Amino acid sequence: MRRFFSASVIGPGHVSDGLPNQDYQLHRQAQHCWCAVVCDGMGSRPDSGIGSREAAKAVWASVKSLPFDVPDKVLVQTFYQGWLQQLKLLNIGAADAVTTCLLVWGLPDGRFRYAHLGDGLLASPRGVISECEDERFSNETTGLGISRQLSDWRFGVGSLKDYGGCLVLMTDGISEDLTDVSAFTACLAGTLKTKSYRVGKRWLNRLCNDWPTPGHSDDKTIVVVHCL
Amino acid sequence: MTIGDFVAKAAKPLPVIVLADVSGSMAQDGKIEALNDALKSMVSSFAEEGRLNAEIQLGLITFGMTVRDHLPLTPAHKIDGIQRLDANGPTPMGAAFDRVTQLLEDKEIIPSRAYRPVVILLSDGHPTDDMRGPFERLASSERASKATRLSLSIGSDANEAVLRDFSNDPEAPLFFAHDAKDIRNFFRAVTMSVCARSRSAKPNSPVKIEYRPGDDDDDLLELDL
Repeated sequence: MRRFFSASVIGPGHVSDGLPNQDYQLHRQAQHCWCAVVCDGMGSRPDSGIGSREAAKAVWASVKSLPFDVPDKVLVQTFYQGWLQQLKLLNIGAADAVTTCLLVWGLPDGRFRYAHLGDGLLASPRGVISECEDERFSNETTGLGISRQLSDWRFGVGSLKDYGGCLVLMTDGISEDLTDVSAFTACLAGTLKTKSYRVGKRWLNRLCNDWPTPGHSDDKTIVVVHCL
Repeated sequence: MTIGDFVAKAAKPLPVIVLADVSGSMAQDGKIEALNDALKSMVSSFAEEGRLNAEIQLGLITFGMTVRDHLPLTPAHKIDGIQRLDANGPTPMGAAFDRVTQLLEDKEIIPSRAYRPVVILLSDGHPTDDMRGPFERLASSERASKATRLSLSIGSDANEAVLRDFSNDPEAPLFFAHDAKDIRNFFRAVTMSVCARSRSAKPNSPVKIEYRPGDDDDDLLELDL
């Protein structure tokens, strides 16, 4: 059994600019698989909030219909095309809806695979699992709507039991301010372990809203996958 | 330990690195004195700036008799003062480019969470070492190439082609200082632009540099329009 805790809060920078939350998170469980996604719409693009939402939905629609051992390329092509089609229906250009995408797709036995484009972070109490390449400065990233190559993505597989029974997906509004990823994630897992879904969600929301870094401005989105 | 113990307590850094020509020719016509005054004012303005959205950090690399980190990259509010610059020696601009590239590539000194750095080159002469290779390394290296580069050409003997190539800001290909007073004007304009960036909700976005050569200090009303 798994529990999911999540929060997505609008950053103070977007509040002051009158912009909506451009991040989106989604977590779902079905009989044969589960999935968690965080997407961070690129702030400079006018419809990136819609782009991030539609990307997360396209991921879930795709993984539901694909076999778990599908090649990485087919996985990415399937939901990327689904995302483009949905944007077309909404009359939105892909370049106006650029978004990062970090997805974890798992099986009931705890095995999982991930795909990651752009910034953000996938971590566990054991450490970093996937992060953006480091040759950059803050707020510089690629995403759906820009990337055209499979090599822009990072992929991997694992089992929840090998990662302390906990995975944490974060957008860069959170990950860029972490000084110790393992300790942060372990503390998060330990705290949420004792909380009900409702209390845990409220606690996560408060953490994101009262973020301790001075001058933080980005939207903050986090999904915690917790193995019971 | 609480979860907040694993989260940064300082705003993201906004690094500003000045590459200053301190060759012998800068000793003429009051240029080095103007540069010393301008840097002092810049430090004091940066130090006064709030650190709500970004923490301005300043570094100074000089090139003259030697290339040296005159001021290692330091949060502006922690800078006690800058040792006055003396002008002498040749113009080893290439070696200065290599030093700034090394600095920009160093993730321990400039972490990935930092906002895009600003590098300001000012010179009144021609490079006396090979600067083509070092410049290509600066302009093509993974991280260093992403810094915003500005340049100030001082006087009529400066190598404008080199300085123009250095700048990568299409809005500001090259600034000119006709005399020592303009060095102060330029630094004042850059200071205002950096401070505006640090206050902005998006400190990565460029802010226009309102540089007006020929302005007279005594004539300015210093209104923030």
